[in-house]
Amino acid sequence: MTDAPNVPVRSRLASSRAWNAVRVGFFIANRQVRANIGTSLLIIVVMVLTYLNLLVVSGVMVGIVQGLRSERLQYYSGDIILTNHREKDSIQNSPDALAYLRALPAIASFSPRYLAEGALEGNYAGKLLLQDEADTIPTNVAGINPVAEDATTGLSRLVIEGRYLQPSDYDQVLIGTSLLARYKTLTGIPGSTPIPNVGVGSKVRILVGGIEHEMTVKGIVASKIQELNLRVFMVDAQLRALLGRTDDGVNEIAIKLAPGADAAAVKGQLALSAINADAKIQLAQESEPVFFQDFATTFNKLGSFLGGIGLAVAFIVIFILVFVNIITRRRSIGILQAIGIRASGIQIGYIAQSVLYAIVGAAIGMLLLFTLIEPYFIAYPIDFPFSNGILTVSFIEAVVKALVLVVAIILASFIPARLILRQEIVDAVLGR
Amino acid sequence: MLEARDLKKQFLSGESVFVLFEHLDFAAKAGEMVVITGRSGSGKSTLLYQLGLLDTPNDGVVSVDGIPASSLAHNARTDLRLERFGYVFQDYGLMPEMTALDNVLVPLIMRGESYPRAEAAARAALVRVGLGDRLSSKPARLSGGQQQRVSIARAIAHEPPYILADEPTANLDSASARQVLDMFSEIHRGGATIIMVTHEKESLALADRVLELRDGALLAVGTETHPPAVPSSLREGGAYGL
Repeated sequence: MTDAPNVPVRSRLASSRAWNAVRVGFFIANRQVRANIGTSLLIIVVMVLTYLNLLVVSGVMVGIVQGLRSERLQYYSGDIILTNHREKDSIQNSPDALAYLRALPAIASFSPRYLAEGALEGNYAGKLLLQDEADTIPTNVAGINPVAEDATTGLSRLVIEGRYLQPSDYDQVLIGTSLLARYKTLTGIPGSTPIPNVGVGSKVRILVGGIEHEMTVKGIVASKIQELNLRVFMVDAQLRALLGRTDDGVNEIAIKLAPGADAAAVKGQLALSAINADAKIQLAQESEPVFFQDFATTFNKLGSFLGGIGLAVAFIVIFILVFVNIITRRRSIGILQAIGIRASGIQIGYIAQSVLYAIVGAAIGMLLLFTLIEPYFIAYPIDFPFSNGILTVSFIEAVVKALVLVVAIILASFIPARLILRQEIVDAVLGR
Repeated sequence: MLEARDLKKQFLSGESVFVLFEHLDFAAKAGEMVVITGRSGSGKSTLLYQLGLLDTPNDGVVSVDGIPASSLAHNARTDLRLERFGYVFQDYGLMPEMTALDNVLVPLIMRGESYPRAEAAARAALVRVGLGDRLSSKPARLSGGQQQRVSIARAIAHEPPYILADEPTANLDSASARQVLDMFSEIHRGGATIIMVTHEKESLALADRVLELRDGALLAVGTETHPPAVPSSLREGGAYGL
């Protein structure tokens, strides 16, 4: 043997064996990860996909409802909506209310709307005989100030054919797609048939307040919000004239807040004003139909269920990965035990490796999610018939699911490592 | 002293029980080199595993420096192996993903050495076995003889009182086998107790005592003062296998 410096190695029985087992565990993990870069990268890719599977599936489920809510807030209700009390025909003292709203700095814009039930008739020119059935469909007629409405809800962006209304556009209307047969929409009016052969430029009759008036279709409105698809829009002054209304009472005021304004605080401020007695004040979410909440609950449950399945799949995938990783090192594990490495140290080594994979996988997954996937879904929502589905994942949820993944991986590593370490050392060493 | 008393080891083979040895006594004094030989299947490696606390006998007691190992808990047995034994396996028993240095480092870290001290000790052990220039090599890049020398470095790095070697030269060519046996000889001169299981005739010359495991009994073949005679299992015509 070659002469070499003799470095005495003293036994350190007094030192904590448990701590030494942790040190050895991390040493083994470090060396195994570094020695198997390809395998480690592959496992990390699986972890990234597993983590994204946990978040994206449930995130899309929640995002369907979120997309619906966002669309309704943006194009219909605004951040806050005022409506007339049920027992009243309109919001009382509307001019005062509008003046109050105009003075609030937190409000960016608002759109007063006049509403009336009515009917839409098309194709009447060719129906001269008494037995000819009229093509009519009940509708809600909304009288709007086109400028205020567009500033508040951006209604013009929903015009898919023709053009948006101008304040001077008398005898012209915008019609929602659910009223017309040529557009396939999710819902219609029960017992009614959408009117065929009506499009931009067609002449239609609007029956409102007992008066029938011929108008021209200027544009078609298409939205995921069915309340909008079932409406006919015309200039407010003309609707008031048709209804013969001499008061200034509006039926609905959609309010858009200035950036950074707190909707709940503004609602509270409105509630303290005289408006509270004259109108029902609701935040966007409060004004949603009841089925919205049912919808949200159902999709949240579905998201949780699919997330649960995702977690189970993640657990099984990780278990198999770790099990294969450990089983192929059965003999090495036996040798380590033989030379005096505590089982806990070896176990820590495998768990540490797996936790590292999970943490790196979750970190990459989180990075991809918030810098790439979520912005992509916002820019290109999924076009569901009832919603523009986006991906909704909060940072807290992402962190919680990363922790869930880490806990799952600790369990999935612990079990196979435990199984292998229970074997007889001599059997592992001899590979039998 | 490494001692075994009334040792019994049996295996189940289907319905029948096969007793490998029974009422077997063994003792190795400090600094002694004992070679155990025997026919293939005689149970010599199994006996070594009992003595090295890698396996549990069906009956009897193994004592290490007066500590009855059979009654120890799992972790205490592991700690005893770490403190008192160095192991050299027939097929080296190295971690393939670790370098030569790392393979020697692992038990030193488990012993509580700081990383710099452990590394210095591991490096020194590898230099002693002539592998100072192969510290960063992984087992796959080392020859069989070099791998066995890494295994020896790992066994001696913490200077344990007992070195157990199971057929350490069986997989080596004659030149490498000679090198490995020279190392054992030097370790022995350093004062370590060595118990080696082998069927190589060359090993017998190094031994203070040669024992042959035959029909479940350990028979003395030579003495400390006289060169050991060739046991019956090593005479020409004897049947051996790995």
